[in-house]
Amino acid sequence: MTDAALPTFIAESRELLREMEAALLECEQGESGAEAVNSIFRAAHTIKGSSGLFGLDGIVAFTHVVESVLDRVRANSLQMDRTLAAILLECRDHIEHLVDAVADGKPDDVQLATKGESLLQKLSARAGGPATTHATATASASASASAPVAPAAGWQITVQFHTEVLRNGMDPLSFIRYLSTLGEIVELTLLTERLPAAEEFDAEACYLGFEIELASSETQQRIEGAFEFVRDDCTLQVRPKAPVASESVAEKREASDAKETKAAKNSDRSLRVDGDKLDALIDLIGELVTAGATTTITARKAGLSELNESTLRLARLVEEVRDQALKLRMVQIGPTFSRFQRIVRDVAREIGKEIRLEIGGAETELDKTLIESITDPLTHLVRNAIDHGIETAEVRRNRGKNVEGVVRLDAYHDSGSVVIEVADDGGGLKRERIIAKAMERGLITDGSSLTDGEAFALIFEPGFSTAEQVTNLSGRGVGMDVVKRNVNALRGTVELDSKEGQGTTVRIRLPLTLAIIDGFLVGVGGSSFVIPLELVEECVELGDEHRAADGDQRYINLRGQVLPFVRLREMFSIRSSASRRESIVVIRSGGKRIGIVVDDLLGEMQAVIKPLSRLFSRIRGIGGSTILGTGQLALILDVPSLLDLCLNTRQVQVAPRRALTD
Amino acid sequence: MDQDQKLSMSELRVDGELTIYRATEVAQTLFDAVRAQTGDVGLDMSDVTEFDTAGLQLVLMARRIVEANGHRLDVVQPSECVAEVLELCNVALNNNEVQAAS
Repeated sequence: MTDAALPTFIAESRELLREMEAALLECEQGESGAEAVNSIFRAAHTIKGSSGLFGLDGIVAFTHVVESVLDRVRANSLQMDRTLAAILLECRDHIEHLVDAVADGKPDDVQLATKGESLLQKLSARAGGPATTHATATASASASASAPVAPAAGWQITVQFHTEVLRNGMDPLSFIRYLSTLGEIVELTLLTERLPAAEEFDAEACYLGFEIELASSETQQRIEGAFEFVRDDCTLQVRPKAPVASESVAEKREASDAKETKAAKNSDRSLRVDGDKLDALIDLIGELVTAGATTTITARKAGLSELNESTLRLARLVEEVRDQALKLRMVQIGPTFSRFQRIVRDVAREIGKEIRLEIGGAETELDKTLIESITDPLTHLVRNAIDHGIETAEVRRNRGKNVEGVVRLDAYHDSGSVVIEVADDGGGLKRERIIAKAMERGLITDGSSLTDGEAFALIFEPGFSTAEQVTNLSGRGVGMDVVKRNVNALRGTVELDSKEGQGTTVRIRLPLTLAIIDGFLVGVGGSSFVIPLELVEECVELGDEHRAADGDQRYINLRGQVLPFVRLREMFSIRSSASRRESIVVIRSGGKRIGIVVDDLLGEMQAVIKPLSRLFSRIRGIGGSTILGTGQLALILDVPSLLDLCLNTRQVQVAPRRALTD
Repeated sequence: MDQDQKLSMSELRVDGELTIYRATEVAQTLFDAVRAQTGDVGLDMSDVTEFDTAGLQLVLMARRIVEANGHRLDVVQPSECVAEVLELCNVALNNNEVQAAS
């Protein structure tokens, strides 16, 4: 094994450690099922195995002890409880430190080794010495066998362990021991016929098999599950040993078993790909989309129907390739959310509050780069919720609330964007205090005219903090403004809902992906603009009565509803006279509706987003640019900020116009 | 690994950890020692501290080598962990037991 594989080992170990953490936290909350324990065991076991391959003896030695304790938990000879889970959690952290040390290139840290020693002592103090393992395991096995259970059925189990199983770090005996916890081993024959002649014997290869008659009330699935960790390293046959079971039934079972194993193998087929390669692919597909658009236009001009047809087919394929490629980058947000379990637990403990983290929408997918960039702001929001949102147990009791506070993370898709919510059921924001503070800081002069939403939005201003008590976590005046800046940088928005005494919800709205959007192309004068297609509701013609260039009326009656509108021509100071016919594109975003007045509707297109350079980063209303098939440049409208601009009429006149004409 | 010659039965002794981690090394010594015996062999395992599948295979192989020469190999004084594995896997301590069982 070369060092080239080391980064993979480190990445995989970290992933496993995360799984282990989640499962341990589950155990700590007393919700541990066999599955959680198995998952913890699997993580420890795999890390031990792979570190062995790299000769990382420190990790092997430490993890080995942890693994054997877990093995006993699996075999029911040791009870998993809060204390044990807490110690195991510390052990997990230690393994993480060990892996980090390897990543930093200094695997022989003396301090770490001492820390490990003391942890192991703590562990063995709780779990008992490893010497007693077998005795207790046998004892509990016989105890469970003699316990009055449902009538036990007979099972005939034949298992041949493959040659490599020992080298893969598995001990077949432990599976037989585990099996004995599921029922009573009536008879066991060791199959030794694969043992070779002495000259060919390889001491590290496995040649053994077992034929076991098991009396157990468990299902076939549970019994097969005992061999879950060696599924790929053994040939397993489990048959009910009932007199009625005819040969054909058994055979059918075998056949379906084979199918199941195959399916199981397929399900864990995944591939680790370097993120850069994926980015390069997306870039190329972006170029492909642009080139495809050029071809389509050229073909249309050429007027050859056959060429037109084939470019259309090509365009459809390109679109599919694009969608598939983008999907490659989509990952579920669940694992990111789960990481907060630990943060919530640790922070809550540190400040002496009882807090539970609830997670919703874990399967919601979003772009991987987005997930990476959103983790920091999320961490900040969660900490804020724990620290300032949730009250102390005493206050909660006095207010008649459940003593245990709840922080809730939620994710869902909403009209072309992903929404992530961080909610708490704490004290909520105090409007008066925010306004007082904002006036003190000179952010506003008078708070009476502000709506609640506007007042709450003030806490996203730089240098704002309302916490009366500053802890070491947050509330030092840096924070919410950073959150907002980070989210805005991702073309997202933050908003905040709060009810005093009931809690606060922070809502982050993000685009689905950063690379390519389906756009609706519109023209104003000689310029082209792209509106994200998923936001477009409909297009209507602008009636003559609203045509007056600087007419006061900036809304129309759309089927009985008021629709405010803006003229792109005015917003971006485009110096050309309006065309004879203008249209309104009705867009909806974040629950608000607005019309955008343009000259021409040019149709749907795929836009590869080219970010604007830093020079233009402060322009509001524009999210990026894209190159059209004709080689022309089009600006992509940033609809949420555009809405902001338009609905706050006080600002609408200034910002973009100045920015563009400067 | 010590080796005590006795009149009727020569005794070999393995101790310490008898697991996958030492299997290759122990196999070499154990098999050589077993081959050098001309009669029945008693394998003293009273000080074996850890015993796994690899260890079990070593004992089985050693027994085979001895049996190939028409003799037998008995496990003498198995330590707790050895006894547990042998019992779990239904491996007899000596040939008498096998005959008695069958």
